[in-house]
Amino acid sequence: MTNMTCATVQDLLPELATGRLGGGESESVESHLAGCSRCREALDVLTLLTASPPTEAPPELEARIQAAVRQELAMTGTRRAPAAHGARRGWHIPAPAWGLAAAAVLALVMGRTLLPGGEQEPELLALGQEDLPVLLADDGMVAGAPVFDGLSDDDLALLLEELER
Amino acid sequence: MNGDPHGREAPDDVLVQRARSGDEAALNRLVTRHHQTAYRVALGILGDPEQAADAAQDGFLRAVRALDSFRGDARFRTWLLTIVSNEARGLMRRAGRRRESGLEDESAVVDGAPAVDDVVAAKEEAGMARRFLARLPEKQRLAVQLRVDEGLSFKEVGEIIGSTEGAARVNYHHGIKRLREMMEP
Repeated sequence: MTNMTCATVQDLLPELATGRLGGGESESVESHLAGCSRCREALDVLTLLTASPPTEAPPELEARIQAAVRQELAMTGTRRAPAAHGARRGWHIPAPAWGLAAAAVLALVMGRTLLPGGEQEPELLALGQEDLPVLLADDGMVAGAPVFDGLSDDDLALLLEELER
Repeated sequence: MNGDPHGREAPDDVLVQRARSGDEAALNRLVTRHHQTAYRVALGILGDPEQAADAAQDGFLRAVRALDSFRGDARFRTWLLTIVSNEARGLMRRAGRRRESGLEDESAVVDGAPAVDDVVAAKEEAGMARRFLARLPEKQRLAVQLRVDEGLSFKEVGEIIGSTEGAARVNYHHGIKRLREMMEP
């Protein structure tokens, strides 16, 4: 049996409180606890926490995730459409769309940069941060091509956020 | 099959290998095994059950899509929970809010009706510890939750909360200290 410091003992208290600590270490920790009120107080907190079970996920969540995963697998190798998760929100932007979307954003940025300074711009809707140099025409068209057609504002905000990374 | 001929459960890395080749049963098993923890991690960040369920699902889907890039130098669970916690933070960011951690009803909890007997009192005290845990700052809350409820190491906790192993340890100890202070009579 070794003498343990408070730091070592307190690191091991979650294992002690949940019965996951092995015999030898358990004895050393118990021995330390017998003479250390500070560590005993920390154990008291953990004992209270473990006496109340952690929150359970909603019962339907497991099946819901499995269904979404199944749908994802069914899409793999075929066409990956934005509405891959019809069971819930449709924000997923499939991998093949990234190249197209990135190209569209690049074209948009280039187009904006090339606009003459004094020229009247069409009505544009800024997305995300105010200083973001990317703008989207409010009819959802970019340079006349409906590349973002069908994507919600949330989807587009997410796309821009991903592109910034 | 998700186990060996002796009925032992296949470990995560074996299931991940099978899942990579499109084995739906292996993926289902991984969902069964980890959805509770994924949900609790998301709930610890978002504080909203519905959003937490969304973040858990989105995290699983993102993990499935990225399974080929999982190198196996971390445990699958840690990798998955890191993805789920990122999903939860992204969801919170998109919703433009921070989780409320107010203590407005703390006095109501502390000054609750006296317990009928010791068993009820113990249950109330345990429930109170959980409610206090929910009010800790995010990193302290997650560090305590992941260490105590999920049995993760400080290194794993650090990966999930986006900090070093040392910082995860500090967050955990601060969390326990604050809980102790909150529970003092």
